[in-house]
Amino acid sequence: MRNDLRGLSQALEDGPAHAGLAHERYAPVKDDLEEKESPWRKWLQWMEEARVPRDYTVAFSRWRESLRQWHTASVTVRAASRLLVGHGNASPTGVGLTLHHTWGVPVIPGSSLKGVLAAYLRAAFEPAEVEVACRRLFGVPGDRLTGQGATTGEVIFHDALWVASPVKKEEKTPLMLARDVLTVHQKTWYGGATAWPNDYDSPNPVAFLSVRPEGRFLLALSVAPGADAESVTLLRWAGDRLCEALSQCGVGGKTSAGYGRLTAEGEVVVNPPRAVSRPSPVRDEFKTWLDAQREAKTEQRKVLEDFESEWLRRLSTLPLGAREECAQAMRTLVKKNPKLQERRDDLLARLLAPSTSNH
Amino acid sequence: MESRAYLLQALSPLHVGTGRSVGVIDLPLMRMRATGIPIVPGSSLKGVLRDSRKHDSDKARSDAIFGPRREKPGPEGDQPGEYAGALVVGDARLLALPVRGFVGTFAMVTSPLLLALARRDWGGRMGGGEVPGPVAPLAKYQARVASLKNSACLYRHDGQPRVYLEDLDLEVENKDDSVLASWAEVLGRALPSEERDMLMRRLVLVDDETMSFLWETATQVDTRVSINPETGTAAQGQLWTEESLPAETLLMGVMAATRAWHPERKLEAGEVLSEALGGPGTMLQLGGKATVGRGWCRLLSWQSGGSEGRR
Repeated sequence: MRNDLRGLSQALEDGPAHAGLAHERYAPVKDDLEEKESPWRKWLQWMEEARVPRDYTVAFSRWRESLRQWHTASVTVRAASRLLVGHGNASPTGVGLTLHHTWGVPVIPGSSLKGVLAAYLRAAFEPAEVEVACRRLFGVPGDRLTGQGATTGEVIFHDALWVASPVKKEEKTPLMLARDVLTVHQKTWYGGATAWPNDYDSPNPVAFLSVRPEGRFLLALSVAPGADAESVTLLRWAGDRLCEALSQCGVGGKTSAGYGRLTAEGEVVVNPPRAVSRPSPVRDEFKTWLDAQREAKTEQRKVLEDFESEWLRRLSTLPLGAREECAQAMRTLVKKNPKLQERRDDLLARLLAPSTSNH
Repeated sequence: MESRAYLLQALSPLHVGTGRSVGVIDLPLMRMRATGIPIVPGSSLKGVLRDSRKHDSDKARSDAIFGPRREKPGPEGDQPGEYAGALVVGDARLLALPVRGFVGTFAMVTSPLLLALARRDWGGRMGGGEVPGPVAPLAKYQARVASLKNSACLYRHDGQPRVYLEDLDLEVENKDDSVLASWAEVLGRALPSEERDMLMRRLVLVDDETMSFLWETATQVDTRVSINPETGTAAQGQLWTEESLPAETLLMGVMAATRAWHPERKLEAGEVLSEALGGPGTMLQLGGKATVGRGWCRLLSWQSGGSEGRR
């Protein structure tokens, strides 16, 4: 820990702003002092205070939205036990922890998920049963002897991001990490001593951090748009098997001690790709015009008249998606009004009718 | 020839590597040779854009934009084609790097050099408005923010505002930088409205020397391992480190287009650019390690007419 950071104490009162950075760079020297006077223990306690950063909600909803542009199988999983991913990473506690580089929230890397699924398929099925699925999911290295070319896996295993649950402005965001301890009883035996394990060693407690149970992660597997039905079936199959693997075998370290079990909240949902809203000058101009009418409180009857005379023809050249957006904008302005509703719906139906101009 | 600047935003770690190295990181990032700025080569982006249209029914259209496909791979296929592609894709250069901080979680760090190069990409013009001017130079180990009041990354100690990034504590000039604020505003116009605020509050300008230290040392480095199914332990030689640009990184580059050369498919230069930037989706997968979720990027551009230049 560098000296300059000591001046930060006030800013750091409520736990670390970035748990990953604090975990790597802020740890004091390990000591054996009592709870009250030990900087090391105080640090661990402080790390426990790490909370989800405020803006993360925006980043997370953008992430969720981005997945919808491809064929994506997704499901939220909840940690039924503690979770420890990346415990082999370098860390001052001696036990690492994988956190999101930018946001500092816990994350399960896609590479871990891919590995877990591969191990589960190997353990739970006969090799012949899943041979084709494995080849398509994980790809194969080329073989010069048989002349078989290498292929890549078809499915993308995204990092499972921490799910941001909405909080009210005055509320604190949820906690993410918890203190944990592992006690080594046969230190000399594990240290490679030639003697057999015995009862004479002093116990050696190792304190570290792991992810709290009840944390939620968004599991997502994707296939590029344009994929055939067979690939989509494979995607769903992989999603279901991955959920089984996570609840039965777990992910990360210490799975044999019950760590890393995650249970799916509901079914795996497979969404077909959704078209994105494209920039369109005419649509934007129309929306600006509508906003101006709202500002000026123009009479709604007049708005509809202008819409028919000035906009209907211009907007009809737009692609359907953009026309739907315009219609929606119109509906929010000209709301329920028994006299005008019929007129409005009639105009919007004309707007949304299949365009005759083949552009 | 028309040109349009584009913005590339990494939503997951982006690994566009060189494949080998003699340094401590086994798989380092690709960088510009003279400056060391991390880049995504235009050829990568062009290939991905072309691939995203492989299911298009209109083959001629995509050929007119990207050029005819080689019939044979390798040097043998290097035959003169009937026509050339209309699209030119420039390299995407680092524009702002998210750097972890002890205050404010992370800062989007940029420097006068990176902004000067971005200005060049815009060609000095943006149809909708003026390109923000060059930022004033900074002293060594100094930082500046758009607004001292709104910045999420500042902490005042004895009256002196500072940013605490990774291993660096930088003093922040005690005044607002209105030019940097207009940069944040203009860059934000390419983003959906709910995300603009985030950029405005996190953008931090540092001097070029500090920036080059950060793009060398503040990138994401992951240790990866491949497990041998026979033994359950690391496979022989299969423990490696790979470097990537962290999620939230912004890169910028320029695309240019001529009128399509395709004999049957006529497209104006502007149409070619709109097609390239407005493909079937804005989400692209770029760079290596695709199947473990790396390189999930969003391709953004300013509203048409907002950033076009004619050269």
